[in-house]
Amino acid sequence: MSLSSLNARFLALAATTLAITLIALYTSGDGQAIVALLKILLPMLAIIGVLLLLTRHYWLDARRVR
Amino acid sequence: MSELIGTLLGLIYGLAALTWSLGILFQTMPVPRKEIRVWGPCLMMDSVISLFALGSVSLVQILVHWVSDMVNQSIGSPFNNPSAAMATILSQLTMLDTALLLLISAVSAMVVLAPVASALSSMFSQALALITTAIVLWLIIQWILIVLPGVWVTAYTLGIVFFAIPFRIGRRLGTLLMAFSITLAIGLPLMPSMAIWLEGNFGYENSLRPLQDLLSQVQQNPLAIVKLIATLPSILGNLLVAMVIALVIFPFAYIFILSVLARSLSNVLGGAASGPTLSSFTIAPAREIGSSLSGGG
Repeated sequence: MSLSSLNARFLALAATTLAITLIALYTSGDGQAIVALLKILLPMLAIIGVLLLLTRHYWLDARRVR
Repeated sequence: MSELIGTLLGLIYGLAALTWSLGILFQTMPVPRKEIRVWGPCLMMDSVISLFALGSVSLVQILVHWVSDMVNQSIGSPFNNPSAAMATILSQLTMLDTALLLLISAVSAMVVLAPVASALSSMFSQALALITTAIVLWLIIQWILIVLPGVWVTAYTLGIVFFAIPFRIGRRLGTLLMAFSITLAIGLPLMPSMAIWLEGNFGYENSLRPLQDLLSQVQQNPLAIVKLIATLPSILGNLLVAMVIALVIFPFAYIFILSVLARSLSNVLGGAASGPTLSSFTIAPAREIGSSLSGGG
């Protein structure tokens, strides 16, 4: 399996979990928790995104995972 | 749920993404050492597992409600009202304490009975100490029971935060927090009801009644204690056995059992797992050896 398809699967899993969590928080009527979640999640994702951008030669290639 | 839990959930997502990207880097960067590269797949797997753990927060809440509902409905009487059970325990203990003190003071009020009073007080001192210890212990448990419903979900989520830290640094602490919060949330509210149930089976009421009869007789006429002195040690012994087992030893034993359960649950959740070994990810050499053995080189 190539790395990029593994990455795509991980992203799909993370997005599904995030969606489920947000829906659960929304249905329990907890707006504060959603805001707090996004407040800490977005900066962290930005930092990780910059890190990945700097090292994109390593993780964008389609070398096979052994 | 609160703002804190939202923050913790966001932190877990960030840590999972960080762990995954670190795993990819370890997998693909040209590092010549195998024991470093072997962390790559391990980190990727850990991040997926922590995402699943994150999805379990609501599931665990449902599980805890389901288990406590099931116990309440299927066992019935002492189990469907934990606060009433706790109130019963505390009132019983306070009543015993007061009764023993009143008995000693009633007897020592008569000058003639001074030797009996001193013997009584040395007999009862142990009982008084035990009962007071039990009252303190149950008050602590009552306080924990009041605090627990608002705290255990936060403790569970905090456990996942430690669980999701890369390189399995906080894994043992994380699983321990998760396991303890689940076991306490299910087990601790059952504790007062269980103690009352145990007391009922042990004949606590039967051993309490002789003491109450004795007390009422002595308070009307303190000189009656001389006639009752033969039965006093056995009454006291029965009472102490029932009370010590149900209200003093039982809480410690119960908490010990809960902690053993929580420890084994944390091992099941992966708390005992250390880092990856080379052999767990590099199967290639074994395959080579196998093929060379069977194929003759």
